[in-house]
Amino acid sequence: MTLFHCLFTALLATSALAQEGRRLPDAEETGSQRVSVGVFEEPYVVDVTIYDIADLSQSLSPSATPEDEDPDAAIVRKKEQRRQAAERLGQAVRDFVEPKWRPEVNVLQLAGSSSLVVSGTQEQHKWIVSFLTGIRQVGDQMLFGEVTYIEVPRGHLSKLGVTTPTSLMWTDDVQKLVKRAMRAEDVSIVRGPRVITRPATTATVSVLKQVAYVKSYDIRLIAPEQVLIADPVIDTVSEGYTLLMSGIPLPGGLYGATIKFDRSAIQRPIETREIRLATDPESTATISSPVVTHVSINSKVLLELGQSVAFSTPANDEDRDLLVLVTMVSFTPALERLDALGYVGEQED
Amino acid sequence: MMDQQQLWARVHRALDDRRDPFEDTELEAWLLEDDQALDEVLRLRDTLLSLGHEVRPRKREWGRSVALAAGIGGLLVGAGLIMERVLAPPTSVRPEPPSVAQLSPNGSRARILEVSISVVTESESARTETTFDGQQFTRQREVQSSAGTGARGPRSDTLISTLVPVRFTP
Repeated sequence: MTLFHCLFTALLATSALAQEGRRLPDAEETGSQRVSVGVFEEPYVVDVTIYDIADLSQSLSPSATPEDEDPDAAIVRKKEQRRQAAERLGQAVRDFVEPKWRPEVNVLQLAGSSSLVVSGTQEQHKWIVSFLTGIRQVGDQMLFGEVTYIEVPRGHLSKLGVTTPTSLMWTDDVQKLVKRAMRAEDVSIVRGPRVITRPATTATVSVLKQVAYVKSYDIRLIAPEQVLIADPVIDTVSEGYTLLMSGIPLPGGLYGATIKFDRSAIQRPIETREIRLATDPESTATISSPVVTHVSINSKVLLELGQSVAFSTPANDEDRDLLVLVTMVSFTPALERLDALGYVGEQED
Repeated sequence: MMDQQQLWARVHRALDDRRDPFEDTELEAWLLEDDQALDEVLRLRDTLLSLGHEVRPRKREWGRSVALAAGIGGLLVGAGLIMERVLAPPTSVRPEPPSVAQLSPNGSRARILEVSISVVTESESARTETTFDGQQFTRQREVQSSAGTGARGPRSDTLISTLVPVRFTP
């Protein structure tokens, strides 16, 4: 259906309403601007509402204060932190609102860090009100996130009960799966450090190792001896993983999680080859040509308490598969317990 | 000082009795010294809490008369709490952990909204990229010849193959 057809249909619908004696309410009547957008087969009616989020921008900002901070710098820092907190809230609305966000129709803008201006349907605004109310009631709630990845010979994930690229599991199913993997042969299991974060805050865990290798040789002429030498060129490759995860409570007891997982692995043994050096045609040198596999997973999921999400993917080009399990658990700890474990920073007065 | 076996026996005994292991002060002190064990116990306790298991307060070994006084006091407090709830319903709206009856994948409201997976293998001579967009895997391979003395310039052959679509679990 062409754009012209859609607009023409919308025009006809509007005029039909007028002929029937019904008129669209105007701004003074509803207290908000009501716009009928007819570029779809059915009119998609949106309202513009302004939400006050000044308290949330403050409560979702980090509370720790650097020592001996200049007062002017403190003002700039706090302002920037509040702006970032407001942006995270806005992004959470775009990611998880129901009905789903439609960029061609819905609009979200921030007025500084104190107001959220949203153009959406009535159902979407109901969801947003429920969402912001829920965030206000979060209190001391913390989120635990952790990643476990299991590497198996190609085709063996089915023996662990994993048959689809993505799946959702309860925590006890995850534990059974890990135990099953521990009993299998030629399986490697890596459990990442657990991260603790507040809702709507991104936690990053990065466990990387750099490996240096000789990539090539540069031939250099050394004066005044006029001697040619082969100078090795050293390069590095990284292997390990990085996990970025954020979670936020949503209406209905669900948690919205944004997950970005990257893993790099070097194929071993590292390939090498002999090259001839111009300094001496009879001599050779060895250079390395590492083969590196990068796995990247980006996902947005809705989880219930105690659930995990699993992603299965090839681990390399040849003979290994990878299963990545991401778990998020929410709880409200006693602050003194967190303090004893060193998780709580200084509170701002 | 406890060894690992004694520590875990004590932890499991507490959990079997539906008690919080951290109520045991000696156990708590030992766990704070052992980060790995602490992590494991916290994880175990969180799992149980998320499954809706209750943790009862520790039963203290007092004399009978003190226990009787505590019991009577508890009854009075309980009666007071009941009256308070009747007169003023609780205002907390924090979602409760799911009950055991809800622990069925079919009854879960969870779902995956978006997912993209890419696997890139790079070497000096070739680059292979496999991507998954939520519906199917697609594989693309580029090959480059190594440049040597008198060798040709680099060439690129691109082979695109689409693997059999796999079911995407929403």
